[in-house]
Formats: sequence, structure tokens, C-alpha cells
Amino acid sequence: MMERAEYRRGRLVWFLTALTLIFLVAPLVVLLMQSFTAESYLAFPPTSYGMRWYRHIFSDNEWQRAILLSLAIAATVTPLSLGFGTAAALALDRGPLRGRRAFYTVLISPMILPGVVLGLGILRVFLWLDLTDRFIGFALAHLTITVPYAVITVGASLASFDRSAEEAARSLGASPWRAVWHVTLPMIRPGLVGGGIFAFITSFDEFIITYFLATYHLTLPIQIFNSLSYQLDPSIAAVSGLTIMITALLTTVLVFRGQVASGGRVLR
Amino acid sequence: MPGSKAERRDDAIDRGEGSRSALWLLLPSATLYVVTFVIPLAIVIVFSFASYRAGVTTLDLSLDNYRAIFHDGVTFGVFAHTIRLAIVITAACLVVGYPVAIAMRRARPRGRLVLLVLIVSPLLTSVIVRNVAWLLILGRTGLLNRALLDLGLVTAPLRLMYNDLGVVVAVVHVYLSFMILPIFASLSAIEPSIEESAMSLGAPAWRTFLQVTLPLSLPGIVAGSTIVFILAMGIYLTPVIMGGNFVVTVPMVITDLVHNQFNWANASALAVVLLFVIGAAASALNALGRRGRVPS
Amino acid sequence: MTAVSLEGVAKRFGPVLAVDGISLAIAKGEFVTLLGPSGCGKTTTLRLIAGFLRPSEGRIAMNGRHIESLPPHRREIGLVFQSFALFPHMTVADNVAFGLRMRGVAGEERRRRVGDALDLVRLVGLAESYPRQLSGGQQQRVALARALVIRPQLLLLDEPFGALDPQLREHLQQELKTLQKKLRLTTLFVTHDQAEAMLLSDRIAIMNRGKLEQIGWPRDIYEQPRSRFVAEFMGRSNLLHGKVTAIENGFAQVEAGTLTLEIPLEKARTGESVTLLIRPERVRLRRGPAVEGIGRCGGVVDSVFYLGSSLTYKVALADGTLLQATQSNTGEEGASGIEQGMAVQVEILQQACFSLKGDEAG
Repeated sequence: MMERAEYRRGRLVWFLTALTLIFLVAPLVVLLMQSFTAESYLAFPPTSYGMRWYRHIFSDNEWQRAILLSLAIAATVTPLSLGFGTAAALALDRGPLRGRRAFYTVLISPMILPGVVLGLGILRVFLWLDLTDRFIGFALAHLTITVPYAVITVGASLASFDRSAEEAARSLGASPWRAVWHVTLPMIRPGLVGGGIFAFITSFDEFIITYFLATYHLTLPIQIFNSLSYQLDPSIAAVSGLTIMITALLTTVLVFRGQVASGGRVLR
Repeated sequence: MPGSKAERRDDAIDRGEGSRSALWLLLPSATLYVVTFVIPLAIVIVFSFASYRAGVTTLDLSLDNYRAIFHDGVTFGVFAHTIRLAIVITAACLVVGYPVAIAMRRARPRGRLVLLVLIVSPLLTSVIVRNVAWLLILGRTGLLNRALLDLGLVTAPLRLMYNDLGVVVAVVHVYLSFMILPIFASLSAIEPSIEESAMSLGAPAWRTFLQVTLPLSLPGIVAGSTIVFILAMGIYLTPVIMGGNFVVTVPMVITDLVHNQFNWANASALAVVLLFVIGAAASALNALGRRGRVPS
Repeated sequence: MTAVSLEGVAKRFGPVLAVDGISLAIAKGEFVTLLGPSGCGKTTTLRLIAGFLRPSEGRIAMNGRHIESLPPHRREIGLVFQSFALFPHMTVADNVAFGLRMRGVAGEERRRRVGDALDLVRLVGLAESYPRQLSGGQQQRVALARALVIRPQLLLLDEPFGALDPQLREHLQQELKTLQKKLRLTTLFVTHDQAEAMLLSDRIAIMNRGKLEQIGWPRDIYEQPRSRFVAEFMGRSNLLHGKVTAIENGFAQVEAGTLTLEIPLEKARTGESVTLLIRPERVRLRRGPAVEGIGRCGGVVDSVFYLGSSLTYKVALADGTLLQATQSNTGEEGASGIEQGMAVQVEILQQACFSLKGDEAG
């Protein structure tokens, strides 16, 4: 009697979940399909397919510049945020207990607070420092919102890390920091890779703070936003499709790396 | 002497904590944050007391901006609307996301991974990209309307965009994973034997869920709701694109004030009040979570 | 020559006193085991010697040098954990070479010493494998090789065989003992397994609640435990309470219920209460009519436990006391013929009794 009810409820849950998953994935699929249209206007479903619009965005100067700028910022910011974030995570894990909670909250705040508020303040400060609309300004702003990801992922890895390997290293003659470098960090590589990928994607997709800072140098998200008003053609779909593919590639790397490194125990 | 300073330091060192030397590692992040986080926030607070007259902002110590927010019907209305939207979004994420969290818990590791990737996928695309996708689906000539018209279910295209509905749908789309993952974590922490005991004692599945599983998953619900609410209070791009000029949120007003009017004063005051509302909501949710927590 | 010495070492964690005034001296080349139940402080003591903890009181010396303030990487120790603690991202060879790397040993010498260490633990041919490809026993051998290759002054092992199957455990115990003797390596071993301690150690130090209860040769500890705790930890025992009824030439007659026993007991007074410890293997059972006398009485077999290599009997005496008796399964009539419910003759050899000090008798 109970089993039948359980079975029924089980099916209900799976049905709802399936609906939700379609809800989550459909828009992206639609967009990807749309990006391969050969028509000159946006209409779904496309009547003919081709690479026309991808070729267009790669040959268009404005799109090229935007894509390159976004990639360059993300590529610069990712290793830096990993460095800053790992250092901070180590400081929290190995430092004094008092104030750890407070430090942690402050470190991840830029990720949680509304970008609008941060953008407002950063714009004001950067106006004084003459850092607006410049690469280094974008990089610093992006760095601030990506460090939290590194702190979280590396912090989680460190928290669940079994210290006996590190102690073994210390007993063999490695000073505490040498032990961390040779043993701990390599062993928490999944956390590092994860943090790096989140950082890259966050920077690549960032809109609001960059919008505050930019005037002539536009990143890809801003370029797309602008073109929504004056250039509503499939190039938007193509460029969006491009970002989807880049982030999908990185996610696959993340997932497979994570699985392999932890021996398939990621989601037990 | 037990508890002396030297002893406590030794205790910390015993736990593998390098005390002082480890704190130096915070220096890079600390320096960065001072310039790009602490000072900007402080500036915002300072400017919230400034005066704005005829296009010029002067530093001052006036509460006019704050008074304006509460006395100006329009601004207050925008605030109320933003909060209402955020609540609806949070509630929708909770209702839609909970079953998915349950499904994730029941799935085998392989299935779980697939679910995780699918759930997280919207997160990994830019806000702007997601909104473009929803434009294509919810617009007047979009996928959904075309399908409904073709199937003869409606005679005229439905207004699925340029209103609250369009905004809610698009925002829930991306923030759903922030609700699902904490709930999943909370559910995973419940030992199956607890639910099994309840069932063996005579509680049918739905009752076990309501009286055992759901309360025990409260920490996850609170965590997820807090995150989603905070994020939903800060939406800018989605209401601009999906709401047209019909949906106005506080972040939109702030951006407009700065970008188009250089009105730092009012913008900052709005930002400060926004932070306050977020802080209050987070504390309230936290308190709610603590009250419902099972003593361990 | 004393290799390691602890003088009044204590360790406090907040209000908890985990190690309470331990003094211990380990001679060069000696194998000493810290034995005790979980929570007795043996692992804490090991970690104090290794340098991961600082003593709240007392001093630790190695080869005459005080090392309490020396960090782990400057003490010349080799450490083997129960969880192996191998570096998963390095090959077996790199794992073993790690300590040499830290000491700046490179090139040909490093390769040679790694090879020698692997030979020593009989792990040839696996140098380029990764830890996850090895069995538990193999991994533990790598851990051992890694600790030995640096030629430590002291080898510390924290329940290293706890995670292995009994057969494998026995095998590795023998190998460790052989290795230790061959290298004449000063060794401190921590375990809660009394049989393991007896097998491996030159001396055993029994700990309970942070204190050192007794230290000595395995035989002494087993046959002459100084407290009830030690007696019961080292093996099964029968405890009988009785009163001294007569003393003569250093021997005392004790009446414990149905039994009258004569034991060597100096400095006792007539009428004094004593607690006697009798090991089950020293209680003889014989079929047949009961003969009363010193160390003799009759009883009825309450239950029989067949354990393969031995048999354990519970015998009820006239006053209700249940005595445990263990006998080897030799297959002879006298022993295996005894069944439940049978009336038997109980005989306790004179030298088998041992008295416990009054206050620790419990």
C-alpha cells in the first residue's frame, strides 16, 4: 500500500523535474539553433541553416574587438584571482580561529552584494584614479568579483583535506610551507581548477560593473546589450552561441577533471 | 597556567595553524578589497548624504535623499515593486526547485552529475545571453506565441514580455540553481534511516515528507532563499530587456541616475537603502532558520 | 644508551589533560609499544614526540638533545600512519624520494637509496606505480620505505596495521619485526591491540587516561600486572576477593569463598582483604570426584565455548562464583571430554595466583 503511494509520488517528482529541466535547457538550445540560421532576420525555427552569422561576427570589427577584450580580461583575471583567492583561503584555514568567520564573509561579499552598488562605488573611485574605461580598471573590478569564487572552492577543498599526508611530508623534512606547496596544493587541484573556471566565466560574462566603467572600450556583454536596440539580427544569436560554447567547453573540462581527480567520488 | 596567552597560541599551532605568518597571505586580497570594495562602499555611504542640484553633486550632510525615497511616491513605489518581485521570484524558485532537489537526492551518482550539469547550465552563460534567448521565446513573434497561434490555442499573441511575468520567468531561469543546490545539500544530510523510522512507525510517505523531511531541510531552504532574494533585489539587465519600460527596479533607477543624470547623491542613498533591505531580509531569514533548527 | 627520553611530559587541551606526567626512556635500537584503549593518550604522546604538538609541561630529548621546541621537519623521525598518508599525486618512487629531496639528496645517490628502500620492504618493480593502483599492504610498505629511506633516529608508527586484514596484518608484523632488528632502529609503536604489542615489543608501556600504568617486558606485564586495569587489559582474568587467614614463611593462606589458596604474599596481615588474579589458562579442570584442599575444589560446568584452538569453560563453584578456565584443544580425553552440566574437579596451581594491591583491586 505504502509502496504504491511512494511510487506515485516518485513519478510526480520526476515529472516535475523533467519539466523544470526542459525549462532550464530549452532557451539555450533555442538560442544555439537560432545562431546557425542562414536567414537575415531572427525567426524561430530557422528555415535554413549555415555558418553565415558566425562568419559575420568573426569578420566584423566591433564584434572582434569586444570578443578579444572580454577574453583578454578573463584570461588575465583568472590566474590572479586564483592566486589571491588561494592565498586568502590558506590564511583562513591555517590562521587563528578568531575572526575567521568575519574575514570569510568580507571576502565573499563582492559576489553577493548587488553589482549595481559595487559598480556605483567603483566608478566613483576609479574616476578619481583615472581607471575608467581602461583595461586595468576592468581587470581590477573583475578581480574583485572573482576572488570570492576561488576563496569558496579552495576553502572547501582545504576544509575537507586530510592533513596526514601533509604531516607525513613535514616529518620527512619539509617545512610547513614547503609541505603545503609540494603536497597540499597538488592534492586539492580539483578545487583550484573549479575556482579558476568559475572565475573565467564570471569575468567573461560580467555586465553591470563593466557597464558603469566603460565608454568606448566595450566588452562582449556590453556590445550585445547595445546591439539589442539598434542591431536586432542573428549576429546576436551567433555571438551568444559563441559564449555558450566557450563556457560549455570549460564546464566539461571542470566536470571531467573533477571526476577523475577525486576518483569519481564527486557526487556521492 | 591554563588558558594563558602562550598556551592558547600553542594550542592553535597544534591544530596546524601557523597563526601570525598565515595572516600575511591575506595581504593581497586585503589590499585589493580596500581599493575596490571597502572604499567604494564607504564612498557610496558618504555620497548618500550629498546634495544634488541642477546637475551638480556637492558633498554635504543632509538627509534629503533619504527623505525623498520615503516621501516620493514614485521612488517608494519602485522600492515596493522591487521587493515584491524579489519575493515572487524567491517563492517561485522554492516551489519549482524543491522537487528537483528531491530528484537529485534520489538519483544515482551518474544521474546526479547529469542533473547537476543541466541545473547549473544557465549559470554559465551571460545574463545578456539568457535574456536574448528568452526574447526569442517569449516575444510577440517568439517561439511560444507562434506555437500557441499555430495550434489554435489563442487568437492573438499573449503578452508574455514587457511585464512582471517575463521578468520573473527569466530571472527564475538563472537563479533556480542557487535554490536547488543548498536544498540538495540539506536533504543529503538527512539520514535515510530517520525517514525510514517515521514510515515504519506508521506515517505515510506524504506525512513523513511534511513532518520529517521538510523541517529537516529548513537550513537549505533558508540558505537558498537568502541567496536568491539578495540576488533578485539586484537585478538590472533582465528587467531592462524583458520588462521594457513597464518594469522598473531599484537597480535600474540607480543606474539611470548615475549614467544619465550624474546624480550621485540620490543614487547613493538608494543604494544604501537597498543594502539595508537586503541585510534586514537576510537577518530575518537567518533568524527564521535558527528558530526552526533541530538542536544537534 | 638512551635514544629518546620523556620527562614528566604533560599535554593539556583546554580543561582536558590528555597526557598526565609521562616519563619514559627508550634505549637505542629498542622496540617499545605504547599500549592502551582509545582515548588513553597514546597517540597524543606519539604526536608530542613527532613534534606536531607542544608539551604543556615536561621535556623531550632525543640522543641527549632537548627537542620540545624543534618543529617536526627538524627532528630526525620517520612516521607511519594507519591511513598510509601517501602522496596520491606522486609515484611510489617519488613518494619514497620525498624525504631525500627535502634534504637535498639528488641524482644517482637518491635513485640508489630509493631502490634500496624498496628492496628492503620487498616492493620491487612497483616504483612507477601510483598509490591508488596498489593494495593496502603494498601501500603500507611504501609508507614504511618512505620513512626508512631517510635513516631516521626514531621510527614512529601509529596503529599502522589497523586498516589491514588479519592475515596481512600478521605478515607485516613479522616483516616489521625482522626489519627493525636488522636495522637496529629505535622504534615507538602505538596500538590498542594487546596481542600485537606482545608480539612485537621489547618493552610495553601501558597507558590509561593519560597516565603510564606500567612499563616492562611483555612477560612481566602479563604475569605480574600491577593494577586491575593492566591485568584486565592484557588478557582475561578471574578476580577473587578473599581474606588472609594465615601467614607462614612469606606464604599466605587466603580464603576466597569456596576456595582456599596459598600464595606468596609478603607484608600481609591476618584478616586483611586481598584480591587475587588467576589467569584462565592456569585453572585446571578434571573429570571425576571433587577433592577438597589447598587450591582445589569441586564445581559444575556452566557453559562450554569451542574456539577452535582452545576451549573456554565457565565453572560454577559452590558459593556461586563463576570461574573461567581455558585449555588447549589437544584432543585428549581429559580436556575435550568435559561437557556442560558435568561435575568437575577444579585445580589451581600455587604459582598461578597473584595478588593485586588493595586500592587498585577495585
